[in-house]
Amino acid sequence: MSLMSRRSRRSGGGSARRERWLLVVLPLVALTLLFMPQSVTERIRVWSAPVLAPVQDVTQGWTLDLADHLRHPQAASLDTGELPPREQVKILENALAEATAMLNDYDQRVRDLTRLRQDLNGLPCRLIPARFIAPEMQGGSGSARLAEGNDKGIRKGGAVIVRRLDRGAREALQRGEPVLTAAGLVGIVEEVGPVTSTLRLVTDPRTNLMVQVVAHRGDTWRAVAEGLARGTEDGTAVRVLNVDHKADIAPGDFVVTSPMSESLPPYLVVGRVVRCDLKPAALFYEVIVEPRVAAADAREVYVLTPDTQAPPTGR
Amino acid sequence: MRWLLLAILGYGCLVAETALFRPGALALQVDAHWVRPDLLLALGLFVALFFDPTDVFIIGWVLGMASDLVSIAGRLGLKALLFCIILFLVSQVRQVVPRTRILGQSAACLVTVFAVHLVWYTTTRLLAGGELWLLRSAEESILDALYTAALAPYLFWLLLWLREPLRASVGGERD
Repeated sequence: MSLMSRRSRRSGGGSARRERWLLVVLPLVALTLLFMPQSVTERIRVWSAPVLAPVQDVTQGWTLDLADHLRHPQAASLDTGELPPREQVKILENALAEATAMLNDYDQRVRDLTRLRQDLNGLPCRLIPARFIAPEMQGGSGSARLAEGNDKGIRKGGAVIVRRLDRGAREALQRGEPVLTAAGLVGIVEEVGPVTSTLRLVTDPRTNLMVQVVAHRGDTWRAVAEGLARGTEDGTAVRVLNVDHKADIAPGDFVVTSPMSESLPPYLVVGRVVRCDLKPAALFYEVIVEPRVAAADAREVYVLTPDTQAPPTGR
Repeated sequence: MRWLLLAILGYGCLVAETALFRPGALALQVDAHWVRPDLLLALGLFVALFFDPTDVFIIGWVLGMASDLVSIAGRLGLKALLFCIILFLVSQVRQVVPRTRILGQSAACLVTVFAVHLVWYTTTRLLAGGELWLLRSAEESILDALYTAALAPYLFWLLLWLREPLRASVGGERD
């Protein structure tokens, strides 16, 4: 500081004032940027990238190319050339195993899409395929060691409640849109950046959903209760609030989004009831639901966005 | 001229860092972490060792912000804060650093990069909703610091060669 003050005396009062002003303003600017929403900071990064990193595509690190996953394997990889027959057989066996694994993967995806399309039949919406960004790509968590724990959704004393998707405003994603797999609802889009989005899982304590409990009694399925679903404090399950004590509810019943909900399509599966306790003289059940989709295991998901081009339907 | 030259050098470091030291090129993978040198911080360290402390604060902030803007992870502004604070602290103790010696430059670089990266990794993880992972962050930081420290003497040699147009105050202290 003594060096600073000596310099200030030398260069005069105006210069010293300007320097002092900068010493205050610069950290304040940095602090402001630090707490800006993801959509703004990501946009600034995308804009500045052609100037600051002309050779590097900044968005490349964020987005995962779905086409990579669907590209047909190169026929050249089967070129066995002048190898002895035994080696040729080995190479062809390996290629066959690889192709079988990929085919299973495609089959799974096609089955998922077919089921989702059936479920959403008539809704004026479209499905945007997306992937969760691996933990090592976000938040500087660049480690396999972290990924080993995190990709299973396991964290000491807690659970992963927020994840990032590789789709953003570029794909016309909007805040509040549901993210699902064929098995059910995964979460809600919380924040949208130009190329990525933040997803709040159904197990997040901040998530509130209007839900319906659907039960299979005898030979019929029927709605037995309505309630408000909210993630538990530890972020591992969902608690359904306001379920009337007279409701015919039991473990194993399904919890789906309510047709009364204005923000989400109806009947998306949230999970299954694993516990329903009724304390003496209590007015409401304490219902704990296990999410149908373990977000930590899910990799490929679909974002349900309204199709503004489609004609309105009755559903 | 001095500021223009510094801006050109900073931009060169930034482009080299993003173009050359990336996965698949000169970035090294160790224990699933891509180790990359922090050339901007090394340049900032040179400024801290040879420039006036007020200049250090401003230049550190600008270099940190540039580094923030090309990062794909972390909050914008975090490196700007870390660079200006830590480089300013380094400039306060530069009298005890043998700054024209290769060993001194490498050691100073090792400590500075380790400190900045450790705080950055841990803070970024915490802000992203993760856990502290202090040991892992320390491991990643030391790897980054070692890579930077290995390259720092070359960068310092180039910068000292340009000391006159840069008006760097070399000599006079422990050197």
